[in-house]
Formats: sequence, C-alpha cells, structure tokens
Amino acid sequence: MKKKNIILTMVFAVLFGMSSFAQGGGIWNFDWNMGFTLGETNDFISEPSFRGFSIDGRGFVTDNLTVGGIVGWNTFYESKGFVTTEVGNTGTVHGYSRRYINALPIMINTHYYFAQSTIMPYAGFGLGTMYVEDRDFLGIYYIQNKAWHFAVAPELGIVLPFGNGNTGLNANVKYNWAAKTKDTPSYSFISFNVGISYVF
Amino acid sequence: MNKLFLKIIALLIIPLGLTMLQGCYPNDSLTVEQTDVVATIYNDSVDFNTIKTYYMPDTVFVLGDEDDDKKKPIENPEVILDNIASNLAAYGYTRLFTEDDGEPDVVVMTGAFTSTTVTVGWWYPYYSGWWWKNGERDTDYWYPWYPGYYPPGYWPSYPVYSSYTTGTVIWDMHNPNDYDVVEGDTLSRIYWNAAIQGVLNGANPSTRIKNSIDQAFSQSPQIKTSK
Repeated sequence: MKKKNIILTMVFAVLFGMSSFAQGGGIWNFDWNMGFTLGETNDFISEPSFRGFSIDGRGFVTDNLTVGGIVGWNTFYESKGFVTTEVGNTGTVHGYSRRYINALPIMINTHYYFAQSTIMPYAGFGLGTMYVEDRDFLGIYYIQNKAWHFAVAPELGIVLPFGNGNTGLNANVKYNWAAKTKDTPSYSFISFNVGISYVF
Repeated sequence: MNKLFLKIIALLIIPLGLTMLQGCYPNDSLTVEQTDVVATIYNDSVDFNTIKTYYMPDTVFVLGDEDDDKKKPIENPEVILDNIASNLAAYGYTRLFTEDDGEPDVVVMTGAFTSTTVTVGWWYPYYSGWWWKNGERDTDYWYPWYPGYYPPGYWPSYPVYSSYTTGTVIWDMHNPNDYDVVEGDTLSRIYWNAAIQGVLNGANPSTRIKNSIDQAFSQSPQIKTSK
C-alpha cells in the first residue's frame, strides 16, 4: 500500500513539474469545493460539505490541451443525533451518532480548453487516487474505514478572466468517484468548485 | 504574479483557513449526555411470554478489579436497581424477594465498573460470569458479539482509546436451571443482556442512568412477558 502511494506521489510530482514548466504556459487553480454526496455515500452522509479545497496545476502541451495534477481535501459531516441501530439479529445499540468522511484526491489530469478569450470553457478528466477515511461514531466510539482508492474525476468548467489581467474566476463541476476496495466501499460525490485561476 | 492576484488569493485563503481550522473532524466535542450509549441483546430462542417472576439481588456487583479490597461500593445502587425493577414491572414481571415466594423463573444480576481505557467493554453474552480482567484487555474477550455465534455485525472492528473515564452498568437476565457446560464450567444461558455507559462527569448521573436504563428497556420490546 505504501509503495503505491510513493509511486503515485512521484508520478504526480513529475507531471506536476512538467506541467509547470511546459513551454506553452499554464494555469494554476485555487478552488473552494462544495461537495454533494451521491449513491451509497449519500446513504452514509446526506448533508453537503462546504469544507473543501483544491489546488490544481495545468500546463499547456498544445494550444488547447493541458496536462497537470490536482490535490484536494473534502470533509463531510453529519449528525443524526441519538439513534437506535440493530446489530446482528437480536442486538440493539443506542447512542449519539456522528459521521465523517474525509476525502483527499491526488490525481493527474488533462483538460481541453475550447477557447482562450473573454471566457475559457473547458472539459477535463482526472485519474489517480483518493484517500478516504470515514468514521461512524456512536458516542465516543467509532468504526473507521480508511483506504487509498482508485479514483476518476470528469469535470466541466469555465474561466472568466478579470479584464486584461492573467487572473480569472474559475468555476467548475466535477464528478468524483472512488472505486470500492477489498475492505471499503465506493465513494462518490459531485463537487461545485469556485476559485481563482492564474494563467501564466 | 501581480498584486491583484495576491490580494484575491489572500481573500480566498483566509476564510478557507478559518473553515479548515476545525480540521478533519469538526463538531468533535460532545456533552457528557452525548457520550451515553446503550447496548442490548436478547436471546431469540427464549419465549419471554412464559417468564413471569424474577429475583434480583439487592447488590450491584463491582466488576473490574480482582483484588476485593480495592473495590469501592457503587454509590447509590438503588438508582440502578429501582429503575430496572420498575421497568421490569412495567413489562409484566413480578419480583420475588425471598425463598418463601417460590422459585423465580429468571434471575437478574447487575454489575458496574469504571474504566479509563474506553474500548467498549461489555462482555460476551454467552460466557456468563464476570470476565472483566483489569489490565488484560484482550479485545477478543469483549468483542460484544462473538463471531462464532452471531453474524458479523456492524459493531466495532477497531478499538478506540482515549483518556475518558467511563462508567458502565451491565445487567443480564438468566435462568440458573437453563445452562450449558462449556469446558467443565456451568454457564447459564443469558436471556437478555444490557449495558449502559457514559463518561463519568457532569451534574446528573442519576438522571442519565435512569434515562439509559429506560432506553435499554424501550429498545427491547421482545422481552415483554405479555405482548
């Protein structure tokens, strides 16, 4: 498991470095992430998350195509107050419930910019890993799942440059999907991300 | 980078930093009441309709220390005993006090302990007896539902440690005439088992104990003698 992380980190670092120094310039994005859980993840926590942040570096390899990497962090939380849950066939537990998901995507990505003028719409795709740690508390006790998941994240977005400067408002919507592992479930959420694009 | 960019980054990062200050686990502080947990398990091969009478010793046994001299008696054991008794009465059970009243159908035993290591500590129901060993905290012993008998459930796969001191009250209902012999020991079958636990702090332990005992009964409607 550790080895995989090191490899991914290296791949990420190399591509990130490449993207930053690519001859065609590039884009840095600093985004605030709002997450809305889907599917099984929504069964676990249905409350949206407003606790998320990502940093994304993209280097142009052609006039329209970028290659880069992203790191992010999303925290989901929900309390349903006191709950009574069945355990096994005849057991019951009662206590104060709190649930958490912390998701950290680390991905390489590629984006296609349809135009580079007063608006810069783009579509892209991220591929990599997502470290997910979830905790299901009852009072002071919890059950925890944690694992590195294979993850993908298709994305649609737009950059609105401020005047003639090289900064702009970045807004995008991304589907985040982490594959199930041997011990932990799959996770998915839609994120709406807004932030700053710095085009260089 | 131009100045506007830096200003905008600062504007963006400061509120984000504030949001992030709470870290991975926001809302992580609980009131003492929110630390209270109640766990119950009943034996589904028992017909509770046939049980009418019970005997309950007037003692809450102190668990957790093998050295009897160190055991401190439970404060206000009547808070525990009276609340269990009133709930049993409400569920249709008649309490017998002396041998003259006849032989009870079941016996209800209560015990309590404190622990500064807070991994969930209620015992494994089919191994009767007070298995708590101070210092030897092998999680296998207190896995509340032994995998051989119960389907793998949802309950802890990870022990958790913290510095809270918790108080736990446990009680069980068993029939001394209904037993198994396991490796030479006679073990009564447990018909119903309950554990309540919370952090030992705050002003109203009696209220919390009463509420948790009431909850243990209300989440166990199966044990009513007349449904």
